[in-house]
Amino acid sequence: MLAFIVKRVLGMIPAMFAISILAFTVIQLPPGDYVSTYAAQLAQSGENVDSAALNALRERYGLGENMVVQYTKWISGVLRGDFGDSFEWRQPVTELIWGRMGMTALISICTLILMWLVSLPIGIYSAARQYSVVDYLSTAFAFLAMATPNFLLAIVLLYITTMWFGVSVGGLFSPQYESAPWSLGKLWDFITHAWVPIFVLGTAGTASLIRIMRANLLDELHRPYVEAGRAKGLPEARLILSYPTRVALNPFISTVGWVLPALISGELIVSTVLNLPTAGPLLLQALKSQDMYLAGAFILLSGGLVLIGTLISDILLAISDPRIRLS
Amino acid sequence: MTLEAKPFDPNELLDQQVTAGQFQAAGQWAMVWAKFKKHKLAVISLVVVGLIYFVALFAEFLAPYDPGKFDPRYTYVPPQSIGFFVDDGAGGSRFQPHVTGYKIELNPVSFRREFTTDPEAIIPIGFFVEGQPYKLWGLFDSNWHLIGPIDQSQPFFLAGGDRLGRDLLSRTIHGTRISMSIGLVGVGLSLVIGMILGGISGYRGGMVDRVIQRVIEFIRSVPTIPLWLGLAAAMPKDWPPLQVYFSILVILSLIGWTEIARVVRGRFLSLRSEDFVISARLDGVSEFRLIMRHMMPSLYSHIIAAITLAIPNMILAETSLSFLGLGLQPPIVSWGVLLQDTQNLRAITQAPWLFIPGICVVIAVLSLNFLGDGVRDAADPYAK
Amino acid sequence: MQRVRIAALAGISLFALATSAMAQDYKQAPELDALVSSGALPAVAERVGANPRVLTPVESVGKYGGTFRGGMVGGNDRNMLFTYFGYEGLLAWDADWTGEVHPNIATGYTASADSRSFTFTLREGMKWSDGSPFTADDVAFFIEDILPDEKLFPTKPGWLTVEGELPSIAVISPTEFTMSWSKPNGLFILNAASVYGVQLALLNKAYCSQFLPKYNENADAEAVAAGAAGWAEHMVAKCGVGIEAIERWRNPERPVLEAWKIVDPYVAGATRVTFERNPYYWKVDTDGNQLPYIDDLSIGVNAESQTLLLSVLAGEIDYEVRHTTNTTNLPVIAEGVEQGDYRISPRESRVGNVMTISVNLNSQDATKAPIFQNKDFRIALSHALDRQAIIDTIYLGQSTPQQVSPREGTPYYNERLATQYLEHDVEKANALLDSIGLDKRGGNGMRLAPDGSPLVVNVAAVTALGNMADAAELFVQYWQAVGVDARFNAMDRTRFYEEKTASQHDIVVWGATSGGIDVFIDPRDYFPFSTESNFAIEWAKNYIGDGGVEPPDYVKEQWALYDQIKATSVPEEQNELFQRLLEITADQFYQIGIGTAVPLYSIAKNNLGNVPDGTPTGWIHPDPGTLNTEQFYFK
Repeated sequence: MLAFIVKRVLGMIPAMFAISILAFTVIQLPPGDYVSTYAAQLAQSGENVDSAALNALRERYGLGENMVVQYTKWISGVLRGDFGDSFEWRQPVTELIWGRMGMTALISICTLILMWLVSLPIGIYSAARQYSVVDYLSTAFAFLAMATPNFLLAIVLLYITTMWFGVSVGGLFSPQYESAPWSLGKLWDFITHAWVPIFVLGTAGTASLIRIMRANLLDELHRPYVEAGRAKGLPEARLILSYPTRVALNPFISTVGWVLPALISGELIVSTVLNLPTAGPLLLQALKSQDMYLAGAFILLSGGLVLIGTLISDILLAISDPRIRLS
Repeated sequence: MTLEAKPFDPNELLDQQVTAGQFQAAGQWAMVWAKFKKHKLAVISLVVVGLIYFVALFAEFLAPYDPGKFDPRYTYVPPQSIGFFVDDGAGGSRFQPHVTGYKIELNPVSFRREFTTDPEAIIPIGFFVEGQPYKLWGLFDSNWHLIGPIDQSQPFFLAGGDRLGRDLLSRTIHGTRISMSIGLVGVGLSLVIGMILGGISGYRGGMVDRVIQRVIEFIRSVPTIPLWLGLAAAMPKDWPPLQVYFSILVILSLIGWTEIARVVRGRFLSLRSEDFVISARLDGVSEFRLIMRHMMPSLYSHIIAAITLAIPNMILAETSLSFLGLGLQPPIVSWGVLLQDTQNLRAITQAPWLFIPGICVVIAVLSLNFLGDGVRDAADPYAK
Repeated sequence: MQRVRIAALAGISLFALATSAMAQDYKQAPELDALVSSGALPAVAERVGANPRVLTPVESVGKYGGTFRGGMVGGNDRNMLFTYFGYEGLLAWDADWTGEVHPNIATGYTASADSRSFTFTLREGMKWSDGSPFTADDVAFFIEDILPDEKLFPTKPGWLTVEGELPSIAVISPTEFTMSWSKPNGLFILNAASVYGVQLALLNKAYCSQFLPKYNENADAEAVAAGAAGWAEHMVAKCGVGIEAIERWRNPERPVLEAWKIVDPYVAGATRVTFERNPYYWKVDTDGNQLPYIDDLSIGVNAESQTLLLSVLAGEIDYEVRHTTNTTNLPVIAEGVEQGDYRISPRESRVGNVMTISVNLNSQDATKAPIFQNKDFRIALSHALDRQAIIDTIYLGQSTPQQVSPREGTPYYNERLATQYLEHDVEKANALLDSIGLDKRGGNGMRLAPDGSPLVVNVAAVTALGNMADAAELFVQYWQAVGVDARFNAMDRTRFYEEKTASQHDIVVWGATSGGIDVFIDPRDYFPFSTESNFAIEWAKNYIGDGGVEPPDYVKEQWALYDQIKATSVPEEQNELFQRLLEITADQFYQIGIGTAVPLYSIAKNNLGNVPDGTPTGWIHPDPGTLNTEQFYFK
C-alpha cells in the first residue's frame, strides 16, 4: 500500500512541473504585460505617462527578459516558497493567495462531500427501483441541471435569496462575522451564505454522479450473483447494499478525478457572480490585468489541488478495490 | 452442388435465403434505427435537434429582422403575442393574424419606458413578408422573411426587445447559427484529434500508450477555466470576428478531445483481443485496412454517442466564455453573448424575456443529451 | 484683482478666527469622553487646535454616532475611498463648483502679482491623527525630499512643474510657507483646490522620514529586512506617497489629516475596509461640535457592481454615487426606493459630452491618413449620425445633441464649437464623401479609397464601459448606411490603451472629460494635450516632449495660447485666451460628439442628513469629497 502511494506521489511531480510551465506560458501569451495595464490605468486618471518611465518599470520588474529566464526565476522562487509579488496589489503573492485558496478548497470539498451524500442514495434507489417516480424525477432533474449554465443559476438564486428571503447579500459572511474568530455563530452564518454557491456548483455534478451511479449499479444488478443472492433469501435492501453497490462504487470513486477540476473551474465563474472571497474573482482580475505572478500562482495551486484530489481518489479506490492494490 | 469458379460470397447466400423467406435480414444501421425508434424521448430529441439546426441554417430567412436593427422607442419592450381574430366592426370577427401595438409612456422618475398594450393598435402580420434584404449564406440575395409585420415600420417583437430596442427573436435565431455550429465544428476537430491519438494509443499499446495516457490525464487535471481564460485573453482583440470565432473553436477543442480519445482507446484495447480481429490479422489483412474496415465500424456508435454528448459541453463552454467577456464579442451574436445582457438586476427584475437564449441553451443541451443517450443505447451491440 | 482676493480671504480667516475664539467650549463625540477623562486623549479644545475650520452644515447641526456603510467594486477601487473620505487639500472647492476656492487646511493664501509665488497660512495648533503637530515642515518635506526623488516620483505631476521646473519652498514659520517657481504658474491655485492638490499635505514628516535614507541611514537595510525590495518600495508600502496609491489605505499606523483613519486596511483579498474616528480632526461645526459626526466607516469590497447594486436595493448602503448610479440601473433603483428606504438625488455632470468619437489624425496608414485628416470626412461622419435616435436609445432621451465643447452656462462655452454639423443629413454626408474622392464603390456597395483599394475603418470601444460599446455598434450602422465600411472592434481597456498610444487606431470611442472650470486643468479634448487626446496622440507626444510628430501651425498656436493661460492667474484673461483657443478647435473640428452630458444621480439613505442635492459630480472636482462627508450624520 505504501509503495503504491509513494509511486503515485512521485508520478505527480512531473505533472506539477508541466502545469507550472503551462501556467507560465498562458500568462505570458497575451501581448503586452503588466506595465501596459498599469499605464492604461494611469492614463485614465489623467496622469501623463512617460514611455521612459514605463521602460524603467519594466526593467525593475524584470519583464523585458527572455521567457525561459523569467520562468526559471519564477519556479526557483516557488520552490523556496516565494511566489513573487503581485504588481497590481503591490504585495507578495503569498499574502494574497493562501486565504483565498483555502476558501476555494473549503467550498469545493464541501460541495464534493454533499454531492456524494446526495447522489449515492438517489442513484442506488433509482437503479433498484428503475422506472419508478423517483427514477424519472431524478433523471429529469439530472438532465435539466446539466443543461443549465451555472452562472445563470447563480444570478437568479442570488436575486431570489436577497429579495424574497432578505439574507445579506453575496459573500460568505455577514459583515459582523467577517473578521471575527470562528464560533458557532460564525459557522451558522457561513452555512446560511454558503448554501447558494454549494447548491449552484453541486447541481450539475450531482446530476451526472446520479446518472453514473445508476448506470453502474444497473449493470451489476443484472449479474448472476445478485440473482443467486435473491434466490438464497437475502433481504433485498441488504443484498443490494452489501454486494453490487460495493462494485459499482469503484467507478464512482474514480470520478473525483474529474469532478474536482470541474468544481474548481465552475467555482471561478460562480464566485465572481456571487462575490465570494475565494480564488475566482482574484484570478479573473489577475488574468485581465496580466498580473502574472498572482495568476500563475493561482493556476499552479489549483492544478496542485486537483492532483491531490486525484491522489486521494486513487488511494480510496485502492482501499476499496483489492485488484488495484495488487496490480 | 456445383463447383463454381468465383469465390464464396456469404452475402449472396444470405440474399438468396432472405428472398426465399428463410430469414429476415437487416443491415447494421437498420437495426440500430429500429432500436433507436423504441426510445421515445430520443426520437423527440432528434426532431428537436433537427429543428434547431434547421433554424441555424436558414437564420436569415426565419428571423423577422437583421440582428443589428434597433429602435430607440422600444428599448426593453415586452414580448407581443399573436392573435388570430379581429373584430370586423360589425359584431363578428374575421381571420387576421396580428400583434397588438403599445402605448408608450416614459416614467419621469425612473426613466423607464412603460408599455401598455393598446387594443386599438392592430398590426397585421403575414407570412413570407418582404422585409430587410439579406444574403442567405452570403450568396443568395433575398428579402423574404418567414414572418413579420406587413408594414415594416410597425413594431414586431415576438420575444421582446433588448436594451437597444433590438428584436430578441431575430438575435436569438441568428445566435443559434453561431452557437450550434461552434458545437459541431469544435467537436469535429476534437473528433479528429481524439480518434487519431486514441486509436494509436489503444492499438499500439506499450510506451506510446503510456505517454499518451499521461498527456490525457494531465490535460484533464488542469482546471479548464483558467486555461481558457488565459488563452482567450491572449487573443489579439483586433482580429476580425471570424478569426476570433475559429480560434475559440480551436481552444475549446484542444481540451475536448481527451474524452473521445479515452473512448476510442478503451474500445480499441478490448477489440484487439476479439476473435474477428485476430483472425483478420492472421488472414494477412494490412494494418490500415484492419483498423479502418474491421475495428472502426464497431466504434462508430460509440463515437456518435460521444459526439452528441460533447456538443452540449462545447455549447456550454462557449456560453461561459462569452459570458465572461472573453469569448465571442459583439457584434457577433451567440447565445453566450446574448446572455451577457442578463447579468444585471435590470434584466432579472424588469425584462425576464432576456433569458430566452438561456432557455434555448437548456433545450439544445437537453435534447442533444437525450439524443446521445438514445444513440448510445441503440448502437451498443452488447446492450440488452 | 489679486488684492481683492487677498482681502476677501483675509477677511474670512479673521472671521473664522474670531468665531473660533468665541466657541472655545467645543463639544466632542460621546465615544471619546471616556478616553479624555482617563487621560488617554487631551481635551477637545487642544485636539482641534487654536484655529479649526468652521464648517456650516448643509441642513442642520447633526448628531454624533453611527456607522456609515458603503461599497467598493473591483480589484483596485482605492479612488472610492479617496473621493469619499480623502479629499483634504490646502484649499477646497465648494459643493456647487462655482469655482470659488475656500480655505481648508490653509486659512488663506496670497499670490504674487506675476503668479510665480504663493504664500499659504496654516492653522495654529492643527494636529495629525496621532496628536503630532501639522506644520509647514510637512509640506516642505514633500516638496524638498519626496517630489524631486526619481524613484518615488518617476513622472512629476504636470501641475507642479513649470516647463519642467519643480517648485522651491521657503518655510517662514510653522504656519506659513511660500512656494515659488522662476516662471509663472497661473493655474496653480486651481489645481491646489482640485483633487490633485491633496498631494501637498499628504505626508507626515515625523513618521515617513524614517523610511528615507536622507533621515535614516539604515532605511534601506530595514526595508529589506521587512521584506521590501528597497527603501523606495518600503516607503510607498508604508506611506502611500501618491494620492491615488492604494497603499495610502493600508497602514493604520500612518498619521492622517482626514476625518477617519484606517482600522482594517485595504489589502488584497480584504472583503471589508473599516475606519474609525480621527480624534484630532481639525474641523468643527457652527455650534462648536468637533467633526465628524459619524463614528465609523464600514466599506465592503464587491467583486462586481451587481452585488453592490443588490446591497443598495436591500438598503445596506448609506450613500452611493460611483458604481451603480447610471441610467441602466435607474429603473431598478427607482422601483426599490421604498423597500430600501433611500432616496435618489439627481446630480449634474459637467463633462464636455456623453462621448467623443476621435478620428485618428495621426494615422500611420498611408492611405487612410490623408482621408482622416480631411475635415470634410469628419463632417460627413458627423452628419451621418442620427443623434436623437442614439440619445433616445442609449440615454433614455436625457441629452440634447451637441458636439464636444464646454458646457452651456459656463463662461467657457463656445457656440460654434458646440452646435456645428449636428443635423442628421444623409444626403449631405454622401455628397461630402463623394466630393473628397471616395465616390467609387466596391462590390459590396462600400466606398473605395481614392487608389481603388477597399477602405475599412475600424471603430474601437471598450466593452466594459457599456454605453460606449453599444453606441459604437450603432455608429457603425449609420456609417455603413452612407457607404463607409466601418467595423466595430470590442476591446478590453489595456489593449485599447496600447493601440491608441501607438496611434494604430482608426476611430476610437471614449468619454469626454472637462466641460466646466476643469477645462483649464485638463483640456485634452480641445487640443493635442496629452496621450488622452485620442485624435492626435503623436502631436500630443510632441507637446509633452516624448517623441511624437511635429504638428501643423494651428496646433502650435493652441499650445502657445495655453502656455499664456498658465502664465496668468487672472480669470478674465484665462477665459479670453481660452476662447481664442476654442475658435481654432472649432475651425479644425477634431472630435465628433453626440450630446450634452447626461444627468447623474446618487443614492442616500433617508436617515442620512446634511447631504446636498443637485450638485455637480466629477473627478477633478472630486465628488462626494466636495460635499464634505465629515458633516453627514444619521438622524
